Amino acid sequence: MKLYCLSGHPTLPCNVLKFKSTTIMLDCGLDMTSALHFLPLPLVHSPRLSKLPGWVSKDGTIALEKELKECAGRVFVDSLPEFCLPERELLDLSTIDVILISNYHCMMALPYITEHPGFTGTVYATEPTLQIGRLLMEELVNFMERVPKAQSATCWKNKEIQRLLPGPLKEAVDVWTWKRCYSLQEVNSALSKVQLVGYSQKVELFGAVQVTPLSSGYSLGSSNWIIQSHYEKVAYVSGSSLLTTHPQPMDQSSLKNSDVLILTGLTQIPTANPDGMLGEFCSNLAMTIRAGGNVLIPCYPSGVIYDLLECLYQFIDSANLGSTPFYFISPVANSSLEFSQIFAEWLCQNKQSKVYLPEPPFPHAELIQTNKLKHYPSIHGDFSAEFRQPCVVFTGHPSLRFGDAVHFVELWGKSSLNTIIFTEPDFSYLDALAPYQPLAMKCVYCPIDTRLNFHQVPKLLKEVQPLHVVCPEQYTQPPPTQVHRSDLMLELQLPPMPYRRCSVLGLPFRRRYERIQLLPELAKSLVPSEIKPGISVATVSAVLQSKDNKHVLQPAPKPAPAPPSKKRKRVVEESPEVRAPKPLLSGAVPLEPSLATLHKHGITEVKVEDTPDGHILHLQAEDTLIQLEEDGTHIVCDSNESLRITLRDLVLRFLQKL
Amino acid sequence: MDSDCTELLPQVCAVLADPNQAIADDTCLEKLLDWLADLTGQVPGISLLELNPCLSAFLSDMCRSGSAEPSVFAFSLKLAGLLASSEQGFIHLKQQGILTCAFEYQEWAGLSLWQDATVRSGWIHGLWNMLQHWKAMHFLFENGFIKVILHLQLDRSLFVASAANRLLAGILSFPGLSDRLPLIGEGATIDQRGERKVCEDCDSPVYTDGIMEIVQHVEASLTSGNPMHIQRSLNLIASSLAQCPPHVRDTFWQGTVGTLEALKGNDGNSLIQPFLETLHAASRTPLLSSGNPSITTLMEDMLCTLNPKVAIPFAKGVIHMESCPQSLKKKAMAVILQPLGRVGMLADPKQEPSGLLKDCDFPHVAWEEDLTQTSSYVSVLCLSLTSAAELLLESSCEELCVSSVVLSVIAVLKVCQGSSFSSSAGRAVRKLIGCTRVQKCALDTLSSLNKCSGVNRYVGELFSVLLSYLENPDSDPTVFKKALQAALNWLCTCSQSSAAGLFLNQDLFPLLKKRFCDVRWEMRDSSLEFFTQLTLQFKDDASYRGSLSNSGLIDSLMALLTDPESYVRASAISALGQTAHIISQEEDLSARFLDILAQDTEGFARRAVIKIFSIWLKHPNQDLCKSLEKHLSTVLRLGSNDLDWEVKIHTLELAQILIDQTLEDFGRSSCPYVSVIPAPHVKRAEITAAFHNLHHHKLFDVLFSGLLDCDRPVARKACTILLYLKGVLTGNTDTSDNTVAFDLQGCRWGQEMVKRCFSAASDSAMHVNIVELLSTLDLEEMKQALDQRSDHLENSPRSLLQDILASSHTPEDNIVDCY
Repeated sequence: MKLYCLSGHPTLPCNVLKFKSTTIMLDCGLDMTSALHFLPLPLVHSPRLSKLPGWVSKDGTIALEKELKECAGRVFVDSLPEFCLPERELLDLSTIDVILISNYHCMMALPYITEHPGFTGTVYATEPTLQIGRLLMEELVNFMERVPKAQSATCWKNKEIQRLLPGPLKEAVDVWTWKRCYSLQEVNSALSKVQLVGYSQKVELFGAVQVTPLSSGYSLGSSNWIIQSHYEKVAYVSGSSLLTTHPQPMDQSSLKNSDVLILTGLTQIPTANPDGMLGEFCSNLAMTIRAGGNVLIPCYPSGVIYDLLECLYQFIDSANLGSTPFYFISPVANSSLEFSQIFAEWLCQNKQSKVYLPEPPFPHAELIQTNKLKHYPSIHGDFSAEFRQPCVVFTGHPSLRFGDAVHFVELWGKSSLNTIIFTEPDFSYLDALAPYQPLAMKCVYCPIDTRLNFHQVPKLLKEVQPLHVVCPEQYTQPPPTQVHRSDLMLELQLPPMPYRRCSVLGLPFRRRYERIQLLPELAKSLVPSEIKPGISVATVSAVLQSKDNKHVLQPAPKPAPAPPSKKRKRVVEESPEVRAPKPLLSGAVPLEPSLATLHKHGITEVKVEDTPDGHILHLQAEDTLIQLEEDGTHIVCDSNESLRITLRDLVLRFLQKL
Repeated sequence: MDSDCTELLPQVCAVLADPNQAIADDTCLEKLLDWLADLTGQVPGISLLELNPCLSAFLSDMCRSGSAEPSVFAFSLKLAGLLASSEQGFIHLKQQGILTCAFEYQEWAGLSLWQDATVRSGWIHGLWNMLQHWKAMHFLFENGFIKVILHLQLDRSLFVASAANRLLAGILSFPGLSDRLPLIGEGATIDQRGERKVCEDCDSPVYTDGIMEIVQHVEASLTSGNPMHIQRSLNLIASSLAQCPPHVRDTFWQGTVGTLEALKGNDGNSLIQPFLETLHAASRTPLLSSGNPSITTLMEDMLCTLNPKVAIPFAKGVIHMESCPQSLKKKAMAVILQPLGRVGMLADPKQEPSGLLKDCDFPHVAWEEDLTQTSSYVSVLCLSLTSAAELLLESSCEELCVSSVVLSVIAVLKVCQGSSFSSSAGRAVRKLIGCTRVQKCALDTLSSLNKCSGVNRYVGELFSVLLSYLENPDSDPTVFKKALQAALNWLCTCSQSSAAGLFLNQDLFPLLKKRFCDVRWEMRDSSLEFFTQLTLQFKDDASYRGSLSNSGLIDSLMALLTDPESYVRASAISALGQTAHIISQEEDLSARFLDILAQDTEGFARRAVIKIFSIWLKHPNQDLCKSLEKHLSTVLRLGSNDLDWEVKIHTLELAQILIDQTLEDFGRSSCPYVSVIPAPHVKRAEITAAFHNLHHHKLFDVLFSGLLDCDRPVARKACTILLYLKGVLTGNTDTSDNTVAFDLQGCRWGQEMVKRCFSAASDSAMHVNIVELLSTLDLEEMKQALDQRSDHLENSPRSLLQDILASSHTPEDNIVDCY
C-alpha cells in the first residue's frame, strides 16, 4: 500500500492511494497562492496600475518592463494569474481509477486532472460539493475571462532570469508548471465525471475496496472518507470541524479502528479562535460604518459567508446598522444564496428542523426580503444604480488579484474611513494588499477557519484510535512564525508519518488476509472435526475462482460421466483429482502411553533417547527406530513390513484423522 | 419578653412536651432557642425561670418522660444548659434536680434516645452552653462526664465529634484552670490563693483526675494508628494549646511530635492539615522558644517536604507568625514565590534565577513532579499569585524584590497568551495558554501591585501586556474586565509616566471605540464602566480632555444609548453623564436623557438617568445646569410616576439635593460680608421664597405621592424628607401663608391623602397650605411604622410561638389538602 503525495499544501491536498488493485486520488486541491505574484486584473481601467513602472535589473542588463511591474518595492508579473497544480509527473494520471472529493475547496484542480489525456476514472462527491464546487469554478473562470489579457508573460520564468529577480518572485518554485485557469468547457467536462454519493453510502470499487463518505462538519456536503477492504481500513480526514456552524456535525465514530488515518486540512490559523474572530469582524464593521466608512470583505461566494451573514443578521439591529446596505457581488451570488437554502438534509439539525416549519434554514433569506442584503452578479449593470454609501460589500476574490474586490480596493483604498476585513484564511493579507500600496484604507485581519485545531486533534485521535497517522510535514513542527509554540503541532504517542510534495510513502502495514467465499453446496460437503474445544477443522478440495477481486471456492467439477468405453483404465488415469484424498492426521504421539502400548504388543526392549526435537525409541530386539518429532514421525525398519504396519497402526491410534 | 409571649410560652411548652404532637419543622426549635438565648443575654437566667415557671416544668417533664421526640429532647438539653449558664440559674435548676436528671444520661441512656445523634449533640451543646462558671465545671468533672465527652469525641457523627472537641477545648482553656491544678513537680500542693475561697465545692483532685483522663485519652488516640482518631485529637490540641495548663501543653506537644511518623504514609494525607494547624497553634505559645524538637525546625522540614498545594497556605501562615525567625521566613517566601518564579524563568530563560529564586536553598526538585500536572499546576500557580500579592502589600516583607514579582506576573500573563515561553517548557506550562483562571488571578495580582513602590520601571512592559489582553479578540469577558481594572489602577498611580501617558492618549481610545461595538454585551458594558471611572479620575487632566474630544468616542457613546441591552444603555448614560461634565456637547443631553426616562422599557436605564441628573445637580456646571433647570419639573414628575421603585428612590434623592441647594442658596444670599443672623422676618421671607421655588418645580407632588407609595423604602425616604422640611418650617413661617398651597381634590395623592388623613373632610380641608398639611399628617408616627422591616411581624417571637402552636393544631390531612 503506497501513498503518493502530489501537493505539499496541507489544506489543499492531492494524494494518491494505491490500495489492493485500485488507485484512488484523495482530493484535488489547487494552490492559488501563486496568483499573488501577479498584478491584479482591474474590471475598470486603472490608471494607477497601468502607470506602474516596469522592472529593470539594477545593472540594467535585464529589462522585462513588459512582463514585470514594480509597486512599492515589490515586483509583480503583468499577465493572467497562474496557479500551482498538483504534481503530474510522480505517477501516470491515466491509471487513476477514482477521485474522492472531500469538500468544494479541495476540487478546484479537478479539470487539470480529469482533462489530462488518458484519464478514464470516476469522481465521487456529495451533491452540495459538486454544486458549490461548480459555482466556485464558474466564478473563477468568469473572473478570468471577463478581463482578457493579450499578453502572456513567460520570459521571467527562465531560470537564469528568475534567479536575478527580487523578493518573493525569486523564491517561487516550479514556475514552469504553473498553469492558467481552465475554461468553462473544461469545467463542465470535468464535472460530468462526478458521481453523486450520500453520507454513509457504501460504494464498491471493482469489488476490491469499499469507499464511504462521512460527514466532516466543515462545509455543506463536506466529507471524510473511509476506504476499506474486508481486513484493512484507511480513514481519510480532510477539512473537518467540531464547531457548531451550519453543516451537519462531524461523524467521528465511523472513523474508529482504522489501520491508517491520513490527516489533512487542519486550521490554517491555529491561534485565531473563530468565535473571537467573528466578534472582531462585527465590531470592526460596526465601528467603520458608524464613522461613515465603507467595509469591503473579500470572500468566497460560499462557506463562511453564510455564517457571517447569520451573525450580522443578529448584530445589525443591536449595532444600529439597520439602514446600512449590504451588497453581495459575485457572478454566482444568487445561486449560492439559493443553493444554501435547498440542501436541507446536509445542514445541522437546528437548521434542518426549520425546513419543516417551513422556514428558510438560513436567515439571509430574510435579509434579502427586507432589502438589507442585495446581491448582484457584478459591479456593472443594476448595481451601479443601487449603490449607496456607506455600505458593506462581500465580494471575491480573497486573493485580491481578480474579481470585483479589485475594483473596490482601488475605489476605497485612498480613504482611512474605509476598512477591508479579511476573513478567508487562504491568503496572506499582507501579500494580497502588496500591489495596492500605499493604501490609506484600514485593514483588519480576522481569519475565520473552523477546521480542527491542535487541541481538538489529539482528543479526536484518542477517540478514534488509528494504528498509524499520516499527515503533512507542516503539522509535525510548530508554525514557522511561532517557533516557540510547541503546542501548535501534532504530538502523538506514535509519531505521525510526515509527507511533503512528491513524497511516496509505503504505508506501514501488510495485508495478511483475503476473504474467500465458500459456495453452500461445497460447505454442505465438509466434515468438520473438533480438534480443540470450539475449533473444528475440515479438509477442503475445491476450485478457487477469482474474478472482479472476489474469490470463490467452488466444488471441484465432477468428472464427466465416463462414456461407456472399453478403455476404462485410461479414464481413471486421466482424472486423478477425483480420487478421495487421504485423511490428514493431527495430534501428537505421547511418549509414555506409546511405550505402554508397545509393551502390550510384546515389544519390551525399548531404549528412549531424547533429541532436541523429540524422542527416538530404539526397539533393540527388532533393530527398529521410531523417531517422534514435533512435525513428523518416522518408523525406520529395514525389511520387516509387517512390523512396520503394526507399529504404524499403533502410532496412528494416538492421532486424529480429518 | 412582652406580655403576649409570656402568655403564649406555657402553651408552647405544653405542645412541645406532648409526645403526641409532633413538631413538623424543627427549625422553629432553633429559632425558639435563639430567642431564649437572646433573652438570657438581656436578663439573668434565674429571672427568666422565675417569671416563666413553665420552663422549669417543661424541662422537668422532658427529663422524666421516656418518649420524647429526639429533636425536642435535644432542644430541652440545650435549653437547660442555656438557663444554667448563670450561677443562679444553675443553682435553681440543680435544686430542682433538673440538671442531674437531664445530663445524667445513664438515666435515660438505656432508652433509644441516646442512639440519635441529635440527642448526643444536644447533650454536648447543653454542657457547652452551661460552661460559663466554675459550678458548671465542677458539675462536669464531678459526675464523670469527661469520660462521656471523650467517648463522644470519637463519635461516628462528625457534628457530635466536633462539638465534643470544642467542649473539651473549652474545658482545657477554662480561665483559671491551671491555678487549680497541682503544679508539676510540686506534688499535690494545691494553689492556696483566693480562687479556692470563691468556690468552696471545688476540689482539685477531681480536676486533676479529669484533666489526666483527657490527656491520657489524647495520648492514646495519637498513638492508636487510627487516622481518624489522630486527626480529631490533633484538632483538639490545635484549639486548646494556646490556653491550656502548661504541663498539658507540654504533654500534648510531645504527642503531636510523635505523630510525625504517621504523616509519612499514604494514610497520613488527611492528617497533614490538622498537624499543620497544630504547628501554627504551637508557634503562638511559649513552646516556640522551648519546644523540643524546635518548632522552627519542624516548620522548615514541613516547608521542604510538603506538596506545593499544602505548602503555600502553610508558608503564608508562617510568614504571619509573630517573631518568626528570618531564615524560616525566607524559606516560606521562597515556597510561595517558587511557582511564580519558575514561570518567569520559563518565559525568559535569560532572566537568571534572579529576584524570586535567588538566595534560596529550596529543593525545588521535589516539586518538579507536581508542577508537571496541568490541574495541580494551575491551582498552585494561582495560590502563588494571590499569596505574592498579599505578601507585597504587607509592608513586613521589604526584602522581597517587588520588581521580580511584577516581572514574573507579566511573564505569566504573556505565557497565558502564548506569546512567550521557551520551547523547552513542560507540557503543564503549555497548558497555561488560554487558561482564564490563571489569567484572572494574575491580573488581580497585577492590579493590586500598583500600591507597591519601586515598580515604575516596568510600567511600559506592563501596559503593553495589558494592551494585548484588551485587544485580544478571544479574551474572556471576565478576564477583559480584570484587565481594565488593572489598567485603571495603574493609570491612577502612574499617570505621570510616559508609558501611561502613551497608553492613555494613544492606545486606549481606539481600543475602547472598538470594544463599544463588541458583539458581547459584557464587553461593551465593562468598557463603558471603565471609561466612566477613567473620566472621573482624569476629569481635571487637560491632555485627557483633549484626546477625548478628538477621539470621536462621544459619537460611539451616543450610539450606545440605543443599545439593545439595558445594562449597556444604563452604563452609556452614566458614561455620557460624566463626560458632559468635562466636555461640552453639541446635542442637548438633558433632552435626550429625558426621552430615555420617559420611554425606556427597562428600569436600569431610567435609574441611570435620574442618578446622572442628581450628579449634575450636585456638582453644577453652568451649561448642564441651564439645560437641566429647563427640564427639572418634568424629570421629577416622570421619576415619581415611574413603575420602578428604585427610580422613585433616586428621584427623591434628586429632590433632596434640590431642597438642600434651594434652602442653602437662600441662606447664603443674605449678606456675604456681615456675619449677623438675619432678622426673623427676613429669614421667614426667604424660606417662603425657597418653598415657593420648590413648589414651582412640583417638588411637593413628588414628596407627597412618595409618602403614599406602596413601596416601603420610597415612602420612608419621602417621609424623612418631609420631616426635615417640617423642621425647617416650624417657627419660620406664617401658618396662614398660602404661597405654597394645594388643592387636594385636584391631584391623585391629594385624594388619597384626604381619604386617609382627613376623614371628616370639609371643603376647607380641600385647600390647605404646606404648613397645615405637614402639621396634620403625623409624620413621626408614619416614620416609625415605615422604619420597621416589612417582615418584622413574621420575625417576631410572638409570631414564632404562634407558629409552633398553629403547626401543632394542623392535622396532617389539612397539609395534604392545601397542597
